[in-house]
Amino acid sequence: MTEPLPDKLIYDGSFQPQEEDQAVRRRLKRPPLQPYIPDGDLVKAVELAIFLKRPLLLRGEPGCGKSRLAEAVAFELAKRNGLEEWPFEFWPVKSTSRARDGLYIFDAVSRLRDAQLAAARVKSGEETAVPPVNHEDVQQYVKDGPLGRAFKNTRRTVVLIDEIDKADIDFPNDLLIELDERRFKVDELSRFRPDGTEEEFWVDAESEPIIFITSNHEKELPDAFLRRCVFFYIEFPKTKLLQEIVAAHCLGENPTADETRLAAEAVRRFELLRGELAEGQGEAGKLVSTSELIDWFKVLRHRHTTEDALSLLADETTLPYRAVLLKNKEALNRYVEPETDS
Amino acid sequence: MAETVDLTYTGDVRWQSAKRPYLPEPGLVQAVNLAMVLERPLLLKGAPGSGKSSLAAAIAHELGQRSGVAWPYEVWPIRSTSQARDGLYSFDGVARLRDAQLAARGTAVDIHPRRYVHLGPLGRAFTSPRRAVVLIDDIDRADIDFPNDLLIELDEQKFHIVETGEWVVAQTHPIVIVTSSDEKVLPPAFLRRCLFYYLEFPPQERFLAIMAARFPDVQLEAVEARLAGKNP
Repeated sequence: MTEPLPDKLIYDGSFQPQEEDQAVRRRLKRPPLQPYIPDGDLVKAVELAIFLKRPLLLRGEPGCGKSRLAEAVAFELAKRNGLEEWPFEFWPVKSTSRARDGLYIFDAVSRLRDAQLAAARVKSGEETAVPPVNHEDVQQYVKDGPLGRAFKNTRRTVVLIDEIDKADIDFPNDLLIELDERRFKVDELSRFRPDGTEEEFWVDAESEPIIFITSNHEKELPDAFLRRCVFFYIEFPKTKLLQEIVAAHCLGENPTADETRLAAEAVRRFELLRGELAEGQGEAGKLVSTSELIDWFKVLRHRHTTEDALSLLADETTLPYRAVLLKNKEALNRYVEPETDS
Repeated sequence: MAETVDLTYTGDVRWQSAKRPYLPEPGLVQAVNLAMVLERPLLLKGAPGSGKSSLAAAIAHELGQRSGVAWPYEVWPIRSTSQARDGLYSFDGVARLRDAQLAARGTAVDIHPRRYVHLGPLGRAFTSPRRAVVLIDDIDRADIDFPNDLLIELDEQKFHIVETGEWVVAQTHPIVIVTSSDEKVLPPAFLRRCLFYYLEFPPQERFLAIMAARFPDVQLEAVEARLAGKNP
């Protein structure tokens, strides 16, 4: 298949949402987009997945940015191609999710109603108020799911299949053919010929969606599924990257020297805490995540001047706003809350 | 929002309900306010009877008193059979099938799936024009899928109605209080999206203040003597 449009399909994290981009999103009734700072290896993995036309399977600690990547890629592709928005589909997976739901939903009850209505009209010979619907035209009862819509788009839609390991093992297995061959069969639209053979109804993809799949690794994924994916483990960010992430989320474009110092100090305390928590077991061993660091830094900035926040963090026997970082009793008992005036 | 209400929780005596006063400790007040600022749920643990489940109503009461309106308050009690979807919406497939069957008698009923969606407590909170207070009570009663199935709803504050294919996006960010009796370990992906507070049993001074607020007629000396007798 030839590419219908010479789209620039490059992602390297060089575009971050600015105020005018957020204004566009507000107009399109989308929630504001957060900055996303990928590391170099992740950029390479995205490039590979786009080139190989295979899904990128992402694993890593909770809160390290698995789910946020897809929208960041969609944003950059929109910017690079001069579009307001790049097609993006979000498919959150639940314990009850079935693979077919992402492709299409068949509304059998509507068809039943229309069929019965038609039967009633024939019986009574009367005209009803509603115009008759041809219930034999089965296509109208098929509603596309997120992956189904992505297949029908001529642009390479960015698709996020979020938390695939929440569903049962059948879920990834059921998706194998669709992801591999990029086409799916609609059973309800397939027909049996008079000789008993099946006339199958297939939907072929107009383009190859750029698929991101996230997993918290609560269940093992089947080998047959894994071999079809490009895999990337998002390592926990190193100090420098953490500082950049905090700055991108919470500081303006030109932070003062003190603000930069505060970001560095917050990251230092955060990494210290992470080291200590690593000794715990079970819930007590839950590490603090990047997303919690961002929340924590937001609160520090919200409640204090840079100077006050710096002196708060200087005392290593206390930890301000523990509630944001520590999520069990054992961890809470490690630190006391400092006296603050807020 | 129709009017601007100062969305801070103080736990101040002025705003107490006469029937069910709630005297929070300062750390808890701070945790509630942080949860409101960060728009994240507050997870509460603590001994039974330490006041985990009563906090949400107290917050709603104070916000209602200050703003002069009945503040939206939703309770979602969790049982072992609870499904995450129940709190968002339920879909009345049987009613829809019945309405479809009416067609056999020649009556055409609009059976658009949207008409059979009924919002649950969290779903109603998402569509409330004010920041509703939601109590998700005893989350650890349900199985592990339950908190996992709520991650996106709590994070992105939107949910998908599979039957209609539509997304319901929160009008306002609900103030969500989650309680747990620590019977099951909650998944890290859930924990990282919450703020956490552990309610200790109140020290004697605060305990007496709580008793005095709750039972104004009781003689505190008697309570004090009893406490002293118990812990010599």
